[in-house]
Amino acid sequence: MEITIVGLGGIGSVLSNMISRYINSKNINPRPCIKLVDGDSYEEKNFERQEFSRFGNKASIKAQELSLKFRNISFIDVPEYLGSNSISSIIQENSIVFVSVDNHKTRKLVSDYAKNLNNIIIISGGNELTDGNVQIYIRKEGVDVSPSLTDYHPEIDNPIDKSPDQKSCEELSVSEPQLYFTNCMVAVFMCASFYNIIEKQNYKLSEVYFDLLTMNANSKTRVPKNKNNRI
Amino acid sequence: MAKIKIIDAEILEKKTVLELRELCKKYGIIGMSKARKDDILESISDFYDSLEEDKEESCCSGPVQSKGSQKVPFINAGLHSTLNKQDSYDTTISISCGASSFNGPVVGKTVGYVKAVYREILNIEVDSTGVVNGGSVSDSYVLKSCDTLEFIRKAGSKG
Repeated sequence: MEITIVGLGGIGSVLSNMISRYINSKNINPRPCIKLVDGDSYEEKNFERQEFSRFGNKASIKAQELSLKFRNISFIDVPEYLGSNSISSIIQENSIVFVSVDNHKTRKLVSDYAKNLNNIIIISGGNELTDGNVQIYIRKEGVDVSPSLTDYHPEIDNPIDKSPDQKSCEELSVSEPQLYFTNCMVAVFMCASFYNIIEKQNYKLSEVYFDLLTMNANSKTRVPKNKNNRI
Repeated sequence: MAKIKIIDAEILEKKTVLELRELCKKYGIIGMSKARKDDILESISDFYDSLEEDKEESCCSGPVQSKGSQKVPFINAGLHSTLNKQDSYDTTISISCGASSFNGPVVGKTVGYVKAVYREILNIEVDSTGVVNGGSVSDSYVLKSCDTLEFIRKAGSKG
């Protein structure tokens, strides 16, 4: 089993811990591998939402932290932002990819890249201040089993934001307010999606929305737009 | 049902064709992009009439309404059919947008109409696509019994 977690911010730093704890308890043979991808550094300003024990590159620190805690998993750190040049060496066939980034540009990059693979599971989460969503994109034998991240989301298909490697230092330092609880909710729903797919073989769900203020959660089943796209 | 402000016929008359077309867009009235002013005005008038009819129906068959209206924070009802006074059933279908959902009596209505009427309750964005039974549909799609209607909510961008 190969898992890749792209983005180790408010969602990813919590998610990586949760998913590692679960996989570690399964004693899977051969030893599963979790790849942690992020070019950003953990700084003091991230303290209120992100879980790291010290300052430095997020992927490297998290890999070290998790290696000490979970001995049944191999952790690989990729201390760089996911880009069009590096994606093919980071995301491979038959892997499970958690996308917990803070921009639609990277979500589109992963979704478009996945369309060229035969077997892949992508679980992508995002949030605003008090609500969020998780999308599930599954490809089996070269066919979309569920909609891609862009199928029903034009804002991801035509992103107006920038990927982190395109942002200036000033742009990177500016961050909109977020809530730790909302990040945690996204992480929980991403783990729940993983459990449903891997343990229950439930491939019907394509998206889940939640709202912290109304305490509602709503799952959706949608038809993939490119059904017969065997490569 | 979200409150739609009915504009006086005289004020509507003074509006330009472009303004009227925008209004039609807002109300989910389709097929007005090339229509003449008279036809547009007639369609808007019909739309207002249908709103009045809905209001009367809900007053007759619905629960007792209090005079002072209060904003509903969310609705998550579970009923799919209601028995009215004439011993017949009004079938409702599930309408959702993001985490919010409820069942509404919208069989026979277009997706565009539902979008216009329930926009406030469900916080539906103007450019939101309608999805019926898991597949995209246009605003002119007429809802059938047992359909499930969803308006796509934008994905969260942060992480």
